[in-house]
Amino acid sequence: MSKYQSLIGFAALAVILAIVPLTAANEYELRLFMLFLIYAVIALGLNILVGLAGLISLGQAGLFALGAYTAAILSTRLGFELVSSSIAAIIVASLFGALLAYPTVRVRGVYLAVITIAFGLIVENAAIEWQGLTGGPMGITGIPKPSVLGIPLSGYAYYGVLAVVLVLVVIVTHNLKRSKYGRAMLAVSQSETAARSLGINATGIRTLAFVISAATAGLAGVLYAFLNSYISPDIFTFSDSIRFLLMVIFGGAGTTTGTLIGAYILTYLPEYLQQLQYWQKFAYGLLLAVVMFVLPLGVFGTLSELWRKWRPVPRKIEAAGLSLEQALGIGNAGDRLPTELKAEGLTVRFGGLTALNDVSLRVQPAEIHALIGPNGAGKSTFVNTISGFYRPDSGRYELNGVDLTGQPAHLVARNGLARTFQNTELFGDMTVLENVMAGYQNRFSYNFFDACAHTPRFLRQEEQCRAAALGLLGFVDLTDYANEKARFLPFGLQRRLEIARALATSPRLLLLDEPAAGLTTHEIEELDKMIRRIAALGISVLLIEHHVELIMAIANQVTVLDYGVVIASAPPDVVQADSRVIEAYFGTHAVPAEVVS
Amino acid sequence: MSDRPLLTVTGLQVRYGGATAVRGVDMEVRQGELVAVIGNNGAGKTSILRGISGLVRPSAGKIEFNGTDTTSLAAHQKVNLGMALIPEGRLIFADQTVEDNLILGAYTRWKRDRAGVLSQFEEIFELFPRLKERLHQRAGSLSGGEQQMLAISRGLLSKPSLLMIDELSLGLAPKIVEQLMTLLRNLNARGQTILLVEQLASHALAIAQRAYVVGQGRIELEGTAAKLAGSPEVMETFLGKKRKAI
Repeated sequence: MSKYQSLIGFAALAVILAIVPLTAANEYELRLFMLFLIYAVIALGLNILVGLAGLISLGQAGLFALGAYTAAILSTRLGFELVSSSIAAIIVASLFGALLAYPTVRVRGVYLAVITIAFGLIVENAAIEWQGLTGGPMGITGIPKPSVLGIPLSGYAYYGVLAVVLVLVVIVTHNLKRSKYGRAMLAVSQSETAARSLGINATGIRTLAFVISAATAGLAGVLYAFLNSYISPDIFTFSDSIRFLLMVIFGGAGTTTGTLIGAYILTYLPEYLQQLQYWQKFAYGLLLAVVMFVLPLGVFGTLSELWRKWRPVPRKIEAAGLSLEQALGIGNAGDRLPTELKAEGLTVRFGGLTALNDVSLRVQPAEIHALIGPNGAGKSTFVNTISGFYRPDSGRYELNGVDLTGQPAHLVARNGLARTFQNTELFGDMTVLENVMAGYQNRFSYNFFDACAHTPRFLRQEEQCRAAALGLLGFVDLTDYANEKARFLPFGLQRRLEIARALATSPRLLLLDEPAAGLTTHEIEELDKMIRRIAALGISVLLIEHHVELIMAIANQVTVLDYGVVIASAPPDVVQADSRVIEAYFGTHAVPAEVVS
Repeated sequence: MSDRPLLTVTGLQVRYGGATAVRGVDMEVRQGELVAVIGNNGAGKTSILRGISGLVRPSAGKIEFNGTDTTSLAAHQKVNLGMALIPEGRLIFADQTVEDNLILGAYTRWKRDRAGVLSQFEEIFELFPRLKERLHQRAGSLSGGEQQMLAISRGLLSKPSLLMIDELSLGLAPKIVEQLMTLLRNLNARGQTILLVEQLASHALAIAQRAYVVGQGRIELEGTAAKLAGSPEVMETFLGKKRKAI
């Protein structure tokens, strides 16, 4: 969605919120609408967690309750007002949100959902049993009317507060979605491996998503407590958690408009269905089932998908990007520090199997170094170890003199190592351009506030990032596909996109894991030129490849692995003549791959 | 080899949403033949196989197999009729054992012909002794070459009259590629009909009898493998000009 459309959306929402109180026929109607505003705040926060980070929380009512109880207790006992209790509640809820994020280190999907359910149940139960603090099943009554700096907020004034809060939450969540944080969340949910290899701290990003969803739920709790002036445990049950999740999914997870629509419908639907009496729950369930079956991406999600089918976005982006040097942030090729990768005595064992046995390898500055060997020789293990995905049992490796042994993948990436993947690990539901922009992640210097408010600094850097990404797409010749979702690209083009994405990190060393697999000879010739160009810019290349002709043509040095042991390391012509290598790798004919046997 | 067509594809069209990947392809595979399909990335080779095997429903065209119209059948029904696909990237069941993968390959026969399946296991172990050694290992722990051997075995276990292979050489060391290409030639010599999609055009043309060159979702050239391998046009586009000495 363009910036223009978003601004129109924000303005339209503000106008609607200004008109509604004028049309409300009675206090009940206005109150119901205020409930919707509160639920929408929860749903928008949850949408960050579900729609972007791809995590499910069924414990949102627990966080909502934490906010409400914090406000109720502080205002009744210590005389806190609206603003001070909101701040306190947001802090409390955020802490619990961070706590809830911790299990994601180990569990995902349904297992995580179970943990969040447990959290919701614990909060609900604590509210019932901890009578001294929470008033037990009877709850807390006599919450004072909301006031700010001693000025009481009457019905309409409080409505104004809710409306402004909702607009702010809409703007902040929507802006975050279209910033490096939103991209990182989407990236982590679609391929954690790739995200980490781009320097994205996956645990940190998931914690951020949990904290945002917790903070908004806590804030909504405060607003609810002051609206109702009475709270009790039966307002924060498991079925409420389900309802909050449904709001996001029913409207269209990942979309701001959809979430608002979902929150609106699911706030009002039960009210309308009350006329059905006994059949109320039945009709509610049936309606949900039918709508989700007909509109599988949610109401707004499916409609906007249909709209895009009818009015497709052009696949190509016409704007010219930066030159390769500019995109990589290199003034002159000579500016680059020489980069050296040194691995010494690496040993990696899996159970009884020794995948790497005392392997040493050195990639000289700006060198193209090929690593070859039979399938199962340990090449992938080597690559996964030095890029931080496996821990070596012994040995060490360093990049430019910085010891990286045992560092997690995202820190290795931030130190200048970028990689591609044998079986391609793209962010399938992001566009080709967005994939490359995700690679730019750690080159932004704008902060969280810049992202929430879309400050000039944010806009300038995002524009720079976009131009760099377009430049890199131009380099790998994918400009024609810029707006296509990455998963629709043919396999060979996916490989090129991975190269562009890895380059977006502006790496010192580029590790290419079988870049020629599945390419035709013509395409391999283009790849050949690409790799030479990259090396000429001072980026060292470690190339894992089976395409012998390509290796012989471009590598300065070839290391051969067999059964986890280095059996040769020499210039290509020497390796090609080595009898052990011929035996282990080339096969008896010892011919380059493309020569007909 | 006979002249009886086993597979006849006419006017095949495959679409994904708004994009058309295959635009009216006609091809034929005769009983006992080894036919290769070559072409650039994005040319539509994989989509052709997906259309033929029923993994995606063709938006137009007709697929006749053994004299029956199979255009609208689902993939699992086509396996029952004797079509098997070894998909791009192998797609073995990584979390199950090698043995489970093999048994799943024989899914259509496991109940009614268990003895036949077990004796075919032995044949497969003769072809690929490595698989026997690793029978109870998790399939995901196999090396790339072993995974492709497993994928081929799994494909053979449905006793297909037509074996379709997408990218045999993907990610494999030259020695393994050579072994597997020889294996295909031997299987074919024993009467197995094979439709091979392959990026390494020269390898594919070396073992195939006939071939189709695909470009932009259409058949651009067809003929005997020998003729195509000798055609300057094909050499230029797919085999590349001879690299200059460095």
